[in-house]
Amino acid sequence: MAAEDRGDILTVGELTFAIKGLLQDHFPHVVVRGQISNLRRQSSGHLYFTLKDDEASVSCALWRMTATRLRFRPEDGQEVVAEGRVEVYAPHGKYQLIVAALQPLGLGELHLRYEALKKKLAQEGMFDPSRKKRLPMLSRRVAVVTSPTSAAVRDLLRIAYRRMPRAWVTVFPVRVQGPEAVPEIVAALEQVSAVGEFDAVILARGGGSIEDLWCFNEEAVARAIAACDVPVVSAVGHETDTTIADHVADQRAATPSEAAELVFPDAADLLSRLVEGRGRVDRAATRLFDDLRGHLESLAKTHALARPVERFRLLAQQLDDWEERALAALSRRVDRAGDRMRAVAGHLEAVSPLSVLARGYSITTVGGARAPLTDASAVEPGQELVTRLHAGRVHSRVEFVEPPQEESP
Amino acid sequence: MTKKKSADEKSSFEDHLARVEEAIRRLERGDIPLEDSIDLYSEAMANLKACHAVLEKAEKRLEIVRRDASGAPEAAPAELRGEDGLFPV
Repeated sequence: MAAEDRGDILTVGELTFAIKGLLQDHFPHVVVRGQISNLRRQSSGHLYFTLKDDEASVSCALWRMTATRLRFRPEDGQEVVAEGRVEVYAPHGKYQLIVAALQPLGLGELHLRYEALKKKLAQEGMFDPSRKKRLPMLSRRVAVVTSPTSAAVRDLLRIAYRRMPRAWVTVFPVRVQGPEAVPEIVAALEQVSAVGEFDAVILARGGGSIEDLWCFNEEAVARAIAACDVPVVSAVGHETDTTIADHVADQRAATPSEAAELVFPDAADLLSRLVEGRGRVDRAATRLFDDLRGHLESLAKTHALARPVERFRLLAQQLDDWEERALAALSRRVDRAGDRMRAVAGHLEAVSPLSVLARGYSITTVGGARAPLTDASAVEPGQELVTRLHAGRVHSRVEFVEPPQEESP
Repeated sequence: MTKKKSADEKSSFEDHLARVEEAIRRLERGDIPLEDSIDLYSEAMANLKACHAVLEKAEKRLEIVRRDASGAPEAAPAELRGEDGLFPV
């Protein structure tokens, strides 16, 4: 019989489509491990390469969209794990692995190492909240351990000096990626601790992949952070990246910019708090002296004293005068800090209760008593008196007493 | 680089502010003898002045650490150069 008359003869198309159906049904989703070779990146952005091992090889295609989402740069010779589906390209009679996800081999291993170290340090108590040092409200000197040429350090410094224009910042330049970074970061943290003058240290690095940030997951860096005498703020990577350094540090910032906000207070805010504080002190003192004056006036009325009445009246007058000037000073609004604050301070000092004493008035108490002495008949010869002057105190003993005279109404 | 300073020498801004707030509380309560109120008032003013002094005394400084001729670390004045980064001046 002639070949063309046999019933089991297939066309090329029939054969190929049968193979296509079989392969595509059987391998809709596979995960394959192999080595990249013959990597080509087309101008379209699509990647083509061969995945091979000792025994075989398979053609692979990775579309542009998938390529842009890759968090590493594939290269010939890399061991990778590729996930995708098998397709048959009929016109060429080829089968291909269409890769939907690609990662370097060993990424899973990194995750395992991270979890293991995290568990070990947690058990040692290195992440305990009670261990964490508080940041001071105002830092005189701040250290920053970071790469000097990164966007991170630029952002951090810009925000720091906006909040505290007169900040003192010392940058310790280090590598922030790769195994060589570890001893540099450790040495920088030790130096910061040794100087003994810093109030806070920021450990900063911009975003990156888990491999990029890996040095911040190393045990040596974690222990250097824990051993640092200065409060450490960790600002490594983006919000979603958490490194071991973030867990050990005294404070964590989502970005280097946020670290600047944590460490550097707003100077204008602080200044307004001081102005407010001064106002409250003056108001409280005014109130107290109002009470005192009222007390003295009622004393003058009820005790019907001659010369002592005059003395009390004079003191009451002085207090009125003081109150007037103090209120005038307080009513001036302090719009700008600095010179105006000084002017107010100087003025208030002139009318402060201390200056009443400077004019020669004094406060006398019977030794041991708290209340000032107002009635001469309350003491007897021989008793100890303590008189507070503007400068210093005088300890004396009563010689004789002039009792208060009766005043005719 | 300078040696470690004793912790006692550092009286912080925060401490001074806390003392002012304590003095305000007691002055506002009012139930204190005249002599104490004078002391409190002058203490509060002294602490406010100290806070003010800390803010005013500060001088802007930006430094980068590098090695000197003998290889020891030293802090050198630095500047930010646009997009390039931080360099010694």
